[in-house]
Amino acid sequence: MSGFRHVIAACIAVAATTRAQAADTIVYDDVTGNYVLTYACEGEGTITTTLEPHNKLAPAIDSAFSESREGVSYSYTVSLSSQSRQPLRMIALDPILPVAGIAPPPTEALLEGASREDLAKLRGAAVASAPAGWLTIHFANLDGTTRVGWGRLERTQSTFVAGSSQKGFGFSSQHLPGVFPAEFHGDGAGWTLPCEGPNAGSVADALEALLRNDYVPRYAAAPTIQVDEPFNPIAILKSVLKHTTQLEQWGLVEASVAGKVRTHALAAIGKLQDGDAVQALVALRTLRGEIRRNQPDSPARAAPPTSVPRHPVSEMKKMNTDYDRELAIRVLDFDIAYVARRLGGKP
Amino acid sequence: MQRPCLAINGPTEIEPKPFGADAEALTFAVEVTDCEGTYLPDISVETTVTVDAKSGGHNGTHATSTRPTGGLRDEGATGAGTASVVRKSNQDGMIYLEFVPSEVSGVHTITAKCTTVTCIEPDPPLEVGVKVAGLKPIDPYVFYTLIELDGTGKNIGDTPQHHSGVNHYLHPKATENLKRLALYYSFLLGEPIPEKLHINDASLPEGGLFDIGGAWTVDHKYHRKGRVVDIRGNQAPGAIPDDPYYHRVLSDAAMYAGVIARWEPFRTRPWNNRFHVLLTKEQQ
Repeated sequence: MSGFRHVIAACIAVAATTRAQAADTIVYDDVTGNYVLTYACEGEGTITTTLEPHNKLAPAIDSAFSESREGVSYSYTVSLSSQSRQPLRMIALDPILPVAGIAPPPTEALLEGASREDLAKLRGAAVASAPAGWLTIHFANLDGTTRVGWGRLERTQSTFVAGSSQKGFGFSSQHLPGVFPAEFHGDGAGWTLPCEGPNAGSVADALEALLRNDYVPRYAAAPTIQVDEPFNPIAILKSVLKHTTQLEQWGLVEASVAGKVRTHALAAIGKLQDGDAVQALVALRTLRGEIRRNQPDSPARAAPPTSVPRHPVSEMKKMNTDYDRELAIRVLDFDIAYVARRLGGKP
Repeated sequence: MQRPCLAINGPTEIEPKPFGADAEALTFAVEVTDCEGTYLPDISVETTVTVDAKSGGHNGTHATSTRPTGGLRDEGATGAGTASVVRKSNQDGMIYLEFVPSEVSGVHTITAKCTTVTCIEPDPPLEVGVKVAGLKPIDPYVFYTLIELDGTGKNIGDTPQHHSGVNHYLHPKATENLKRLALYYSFLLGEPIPEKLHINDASLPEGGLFDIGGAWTVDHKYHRKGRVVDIRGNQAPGAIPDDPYYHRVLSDAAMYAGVIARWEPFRTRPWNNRFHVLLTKEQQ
């Protein structure tokens, strides 16, 4: 049972009794993967409603990234295993660092007063920058980060069903990759909660947690290490160190590897602060050697497994796969190599 | 003996009591002095809290006599407290009390008077704002409307109990996400003249219980923190049509905007049908 279902189970155990009404309940149905909510509604009696979450799918995402003229080119292949009980409706990366090479975000300035032809052009650009059958929308968050979404074009239910696979998602960015949990949203019935839903209390809290986690997370490589111009290797290495701590917390790199990253990256930072780029490069080369020792022997990259069950972000650590761990190592190796190359040395 | 002077010191802002949980209390002190800086022990003082019945956005036809008021209690005590307490000053000339807010936001005034001698009352009294901080009126925007577009200019969601647009307050981040949702809805519909979303209730200016019926009890659930908004989905002009296609477009727009939309139909009150949108993912 996933941790999230534990949450639900706990809520059933302490089902809220409010204002002398019958206890609100939320029950998970193992067979359908749906939730049944029962709650009282003033004027309408007891409401029982079935909620279909949008996480009844087992997706996989294969991340590729390489240096390009714009900085880093990111591309993804997405597939849906035969275990999926819902089609895929949307993929989202949020919050990541700004991206380029995809359709401009629809903005008030672009849309206000736009003619039908203008709108068709904008929509066409959003469609053109996505694989066939998909639409790209991205926007800048208030804090300067970015949200990128790829959604299906169908006006009815998505035809990206179990067994489907799709290449061609991607963008470029001046920023380096980190490992990031992408959101996969299934295509199910919308959430319908008659009469405002359950009363505030433990069941309402569980419902809100369910709503917040209403997708399947999968690790992908995405722009998370900031690169500014002029090039600032110390700032990048500090970001890599911070990200390594995150990867260790997620269980994607072992403590011993994280320790080596810290030792050598800090050594490189120290040398850079001393103005000794040559010795900094030596430290970075040593670091790459240590990182690469943790890569699989096989030269061929493993494909991401598609049989990982659905689970919330908080449970990802328990579900880490070899692919996820290999991705973390690939990302770290890429980032260190990038810094070394920009320092003018042979990575 | 010179008449004692009373003063009240303490914080001036606290969040309303959450539903189904204990409220955080605000500790304050009543000081009893001889008006020249010497603290006086053993003076009996009655401390009282009152509320501005029309504050917090409850500016209509509510029954003011039944409005919930925050309570006073001893420091470290439990419970909702009472409207007034009588305590003697300690050896340091102090009385430490707690103010416990109710679920209803609004301006509370705490004052004090001596019960056995004549004294000079606190000037000013302690004014405590029970409020969810940081809520702002929802900005106007081209892809949604806060007022009826039928020529009346009436604020959507005004009621006799809560009127003049007090129902349209959100955290700024929630407003930004609402704008995105509205923009993507128009974009995905692809219509050159934007189909403006008709925005109904958000939160009251200072958050807290949104007693939709005006009786201080029936809760407009979840509309307490400036994070959610209702979008018209009934038969009224400007409503999202009751059609699976439009519902899907709104759901897709919500996914793109990173917000959570759910459909709230009412069997016996279909005129209340709406989309309820959770605009931020922060915990309450």
